Amino acid sequence: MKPTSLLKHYAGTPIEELPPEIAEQVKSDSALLAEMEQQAEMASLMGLKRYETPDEAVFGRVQYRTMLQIKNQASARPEPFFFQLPGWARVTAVLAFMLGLSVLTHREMLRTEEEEALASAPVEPVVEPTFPVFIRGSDPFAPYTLETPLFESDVFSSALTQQLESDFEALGLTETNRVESTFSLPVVFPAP
Amino acid sequence: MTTPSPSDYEAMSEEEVILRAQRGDNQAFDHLMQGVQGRIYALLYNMTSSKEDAEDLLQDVFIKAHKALPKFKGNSSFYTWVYRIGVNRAINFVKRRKKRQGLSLDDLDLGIERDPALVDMANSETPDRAIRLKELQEKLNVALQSLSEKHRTVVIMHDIQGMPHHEIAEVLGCSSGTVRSRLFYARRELQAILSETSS
Repeated sequence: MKPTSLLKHYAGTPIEELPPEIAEQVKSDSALLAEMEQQAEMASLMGLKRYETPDEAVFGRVQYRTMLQIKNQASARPEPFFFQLPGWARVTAVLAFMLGLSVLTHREMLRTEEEEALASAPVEPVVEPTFPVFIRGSDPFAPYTLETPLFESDVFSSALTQQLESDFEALGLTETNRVESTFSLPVVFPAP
Repeated sequence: MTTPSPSDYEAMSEEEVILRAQRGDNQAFDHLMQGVQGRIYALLYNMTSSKEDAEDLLQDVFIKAHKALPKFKGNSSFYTWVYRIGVNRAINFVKRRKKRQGLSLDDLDLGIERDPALVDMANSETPDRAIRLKELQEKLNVALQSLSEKHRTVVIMHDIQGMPHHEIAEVLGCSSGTVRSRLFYARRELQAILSETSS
C-alpha cells in the first residue's frame, strides 16, 4: 500500500490496532511511523474533549423553550396560502401572473385606431319588443285577438307560388284544403 | 389519541414514537429530543466553542426538526437525521459568525470550572495538573476553531464523538474515503497549530 494511501486510510488508528501487514509496513518506514504516531496522538488529544459534559439544566431549559415556541407557533395565525407554497411554486405563480399581465398589456398596445374608436363609441340602446297592453274591459275573460305583424315568407315568393299552382293544375292537382292565410291569432282566456 | 406517560414512550419503538410526533403528539417529540440532545449539544458546543451559542443552536435545531418532521421518511435513523440538521445549522452559524467578526479568544468558552468530569480529573491530581488541563483545553478549543468548517466537523464527529467513518459519511453526504482524507489533513493542521501555540 502506498504510504499516502495508508496514511489517509489508517491515520489516527493506534499501531496495535492496525492489521498485521499494515503494522509491519508502518514499523519498517520511520517517516510513516512518525506520521502515524502523530496522527494517533492528535486523535487521542482531541478525544479529551469528550469529557466536557454540559450542565444538565441546559437540556431542561432548551426543552422548555422549544416546546413553548412550538405551542406558540401552533396557536399563531396560519400563513396565507401563497406563503405556504414551496419556493418553486411561488416563483412559478408570480411568473405566470406577470406573463398574463404582459400579454394583456401587449394586446392593448396593438389596438388600431378603428378598434379604439369602436371600443369608445357610445353603445346604442337596445329596443325591447313591445307587447300589447291589455286594457281590462267589463269582462276580463272575453276573447281577445292578438295582432301579429304580417308574415312574408322569403322561401316561396308569390311568383313561385303562382308557378307551382299552375304546374299542379296542369297535372290535374287542385287545392282542396286551402286555408286562408291569417295574420292574427285568436287568443282566448278561459274562465277560471 | 390518548396521551401516554413517559414510561410508555420508553416501551414504544422509535418508529412508533416518530409516527406519534408526526401526528402532532408534542410529548412524543419531547421524548425524541431527550434521546438525541446530549450528542447534538456536544457537536454544537465543539463547533462553536461557546455554551450560550450551543444552547441557542440546540433550540433552533429542534424547532427546525419539528417543522420538518412531517417530511421525515425514515430512510435514516432519527438521530442521523437530526444530527444532519445540527451539522448544517452549526456550519451556517460558524460561517456567518466568521463573516460578522473575527472570532476572538473572549468568544470561546475556555473555562473548565463548570465541567464536572474535568474538574474531578483535575481535583484528583495536583493543582498544577488542573492548570495544565485548563491550558490544554484552551489550546484545543483555539486549535479546533482555527480549522475550516469541514475539517472541524470530521474531527468532532470522529475524534471527539467517536462516530465511525461510514456514519460520518452518511451524515455529511460524502464518501468514507473523503472523511478519512479530511481527518488526516485536519489532524496535520491541528498539530501545526498546537506546535505554534506551544512554541
